[in-house]
Amino acid sequence: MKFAKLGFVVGLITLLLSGTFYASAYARELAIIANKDYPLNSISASAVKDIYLGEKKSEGGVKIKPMEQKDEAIKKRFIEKVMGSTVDGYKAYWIKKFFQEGVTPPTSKGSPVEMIQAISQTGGSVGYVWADEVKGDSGVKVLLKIEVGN
Amino acid sequence: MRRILCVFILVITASVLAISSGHAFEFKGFADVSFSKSTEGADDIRYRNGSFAFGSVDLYFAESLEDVELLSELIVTSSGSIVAERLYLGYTFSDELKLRVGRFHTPLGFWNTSYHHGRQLQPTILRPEAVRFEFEGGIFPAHSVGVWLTGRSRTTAGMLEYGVETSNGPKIVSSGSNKVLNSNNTSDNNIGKAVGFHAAISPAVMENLKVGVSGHFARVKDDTATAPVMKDVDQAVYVAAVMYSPGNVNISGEYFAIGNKSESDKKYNSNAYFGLITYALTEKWVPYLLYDNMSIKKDDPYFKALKTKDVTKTTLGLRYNISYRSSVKGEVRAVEKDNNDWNEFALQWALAF
Repeated sequence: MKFAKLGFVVGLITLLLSGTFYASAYARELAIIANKDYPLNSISASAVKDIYLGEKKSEGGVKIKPMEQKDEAIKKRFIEKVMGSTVDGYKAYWIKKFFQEGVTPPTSKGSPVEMIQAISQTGGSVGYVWADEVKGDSGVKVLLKIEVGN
Repeated sequence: MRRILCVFILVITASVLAISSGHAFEFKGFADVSFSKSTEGADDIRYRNGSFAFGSVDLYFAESLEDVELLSELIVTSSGSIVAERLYLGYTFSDELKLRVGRFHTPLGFWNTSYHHGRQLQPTILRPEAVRFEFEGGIFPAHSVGVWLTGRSRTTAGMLEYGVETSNGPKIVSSGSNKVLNSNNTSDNNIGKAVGFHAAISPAVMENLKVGVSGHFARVKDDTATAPVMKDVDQAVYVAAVMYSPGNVNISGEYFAIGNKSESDKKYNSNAYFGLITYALTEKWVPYLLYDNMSIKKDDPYFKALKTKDVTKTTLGLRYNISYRSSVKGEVRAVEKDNNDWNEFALQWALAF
């Protein structure tokens, strides 16, 4: 009887652990990508935040051109997890920033394919896509990967 | 009517350009409508009866062509006139150094450059007394025409913002039966240029805190023929400003020390300050409290010319955010001005588009 109970507990723990591993195996990652000629090969999360807040506009003499996605799902995940804001808070921030300093907000791209293509063709450009959407020969480089949950 | 039509055409043209160009061209604006009423004793009789008013329509656009920037802002006032609010060309050398040439918001304190005509951005309905616009009887030039070098840099100590500017010194002009400041848009009426500086830091150890100092020095000339005509005054304004946002609370305050020196070398020192606290109960509901004070030297020729009086104002308000673009604010104010006191009630609906 004791063995039966022990077996039940072990089984339950195994089930929970496997669930956790399954979840983490499928946790999606955002990739911060840049044009191949971008001066850096890696970037910190706080620098990404500065770029998308219009606080950092150049790197090594190159003007940074941030791009964002029109797709609401990935945009929401990026704003919440990387920018630490809400979609409305982020939009309100850009109304203020544009009015105060004349800094234009990041340009929007309609799809990951369009964004990757635009970044590969535009010097100094930076963007974000799901990590599994970046192929080896896409003409961009990955600066940072950020796990953003399921 | 023709002016409003011109603005309408401008808006349509700019919108078409924005859509067709598909690059970094942005066109935005603000608008607001309000209702105000005051009790016996108010110095502006229009508000005693209760008045609806549209504040202003603010239209602005910016274009970035590589390192060169253009920003233009036009205001359609409630009287139907169009005012060129800002117009500058900018060149970005780096994040640490940007050049702006033209007409810009004077970087004095935080409030003036943060909100200006953007009523949707502004936490309260009215600007504090110390930072009122020139045409409202403001005591400092809210606008400057000249050259502004500014920048920001992230250091180990925190985010630094800094700048220096030189501009046409302001002058005093007639406006109806009053005299008001004017920023000398197209020419200076004396050889002495105004100069200013500003510096602020958001410390790395406390990023939701921002403290700053700024100064503005100018020779002000009375260009009116209305007696008493003020002789030139050398003015020095120093401002200390703070902004702190821990969580849902936002606390800000600015202190202005104003020194005016007459031609006979007589010095007059006055001061003004305000403190604002807002608390976001939810994303939608934000109550606020603003305390506002201005104490001026009675025999200061500069304040005599502008008919500036001592003022103390306490404002209790509630803001409701309809969305991130639109809000309604309601306020009750207790005002003490030059031995009179009265209450004011106001509602405002503001929009960013």
